[in-house]
Amino acid sequence: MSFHSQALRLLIVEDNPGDYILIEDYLGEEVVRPAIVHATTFAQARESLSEPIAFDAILLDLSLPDNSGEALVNEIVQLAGPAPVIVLTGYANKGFSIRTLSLGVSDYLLKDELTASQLYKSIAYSMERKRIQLKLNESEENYRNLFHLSPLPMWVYDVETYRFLNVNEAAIKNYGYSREELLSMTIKDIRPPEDVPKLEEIVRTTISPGITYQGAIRHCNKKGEIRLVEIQSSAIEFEGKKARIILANDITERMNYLRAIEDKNQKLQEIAWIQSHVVRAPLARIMGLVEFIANQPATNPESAELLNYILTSANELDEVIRTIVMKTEQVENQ
Amino acid sequence: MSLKILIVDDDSVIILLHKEMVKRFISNDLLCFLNGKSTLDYLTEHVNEGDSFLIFLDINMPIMNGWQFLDAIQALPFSNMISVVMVTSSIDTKDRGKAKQYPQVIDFVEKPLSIKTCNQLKQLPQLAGLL
Repeated sequence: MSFHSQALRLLIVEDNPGDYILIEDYLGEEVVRPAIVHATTFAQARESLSEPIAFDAILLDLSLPDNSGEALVNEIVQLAGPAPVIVLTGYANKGFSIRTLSLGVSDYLLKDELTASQLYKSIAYSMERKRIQLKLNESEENYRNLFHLSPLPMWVYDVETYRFLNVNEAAIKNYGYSREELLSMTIKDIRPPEDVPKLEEIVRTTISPGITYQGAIRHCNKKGEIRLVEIQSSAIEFEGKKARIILANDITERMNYLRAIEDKNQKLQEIAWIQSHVVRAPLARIMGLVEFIANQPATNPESAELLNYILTSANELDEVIRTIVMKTEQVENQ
Repeated sequence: MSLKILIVDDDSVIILLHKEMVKRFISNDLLCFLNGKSTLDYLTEHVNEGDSFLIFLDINMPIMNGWQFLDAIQALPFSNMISVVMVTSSIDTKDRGKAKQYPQVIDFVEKPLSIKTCNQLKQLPQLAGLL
């Protein structure tokens, strides 16, 4: 019975030669040409585990001449990396063997009851379980990173106590509080006091799961500066508590920039109004006066020429004013 | 049936110029006012049956500006006997659009009133038979 296409690479840590031979025999029955490395001491085991080629599984006897019991289990589990550790033990050690499962050991086998198929089954199951566990860890790690390494500030808070349950790096950086400080605070502490009733209202109305909230609100950093923040929030369950996860985008700079542009537009319109109404009034007077004088019967030719120059200049100025007003009207209409 | 010309402007130089222009090219029968209020007072007190008016109206004036004046004359019983030419130094297109909403406004001209403008005004159908 063998469903492994590749040769299994196993480390057997066993100081009793009789036990070792038995295990080797059993393995030979079930596995085609297993690659077995045999260590009789903890020192040898450690050396084998430091080699770059990984083992598929480690079979570990609980009492070695240079290490034993919990200390041994801890050290081997640590060194094993992705390889599952299966403990081999006698009746006397059964109670402790069960406890080793919580130390990261994948399975335990009683030597006195060991059969070839049982051994093989334990190795195959342990390998598969370890593989799934590693995948799960990796997936959890990815999700943690999505939260912790997000460039936008994020946090999770408890909807009943308003306490921060978790905060990411960007939140720490943006608000100026340390992780420990934030985790001892509530989300009310990052609001201006006068905005707290509004916050309570938002939390109350979005408390049921599934409702996402979006909006621009005011936050307060550690320095006491008011920041304008765009919030997105969704309900989640976090460590058994009803919570919401928040994504906070600081839009203070953007809003300041917009306001500055609006102010400039306002001034531009005022300039247009001044050009159109105030500057042009005396100009209209000059143009009218020149035409009036030029049409007097007694005007001599020399004066008429000079008047014409004035009129040309006034017309040029009139064109300039018209251009300015037209341009500001275009800005206004955009 | 007589047509009276009223020139309404707070700028005395403009009044002087427009008075001469209107006298020479449109009509001798004219009066000048410095704001909308004095014009309105004149209209309510001195109007006779069969009189009609052509008003050269400035926009920006103290006491009662051109717009306020236009609003006020809507209530006059003889408002249909009044024709208004808006005369303004403003080249704001919004003012032009707003002026169109008043039925009495027959034209919108920019200062200064030129000979050419006066001649064009005389051709307006609304003034046919009055001059």
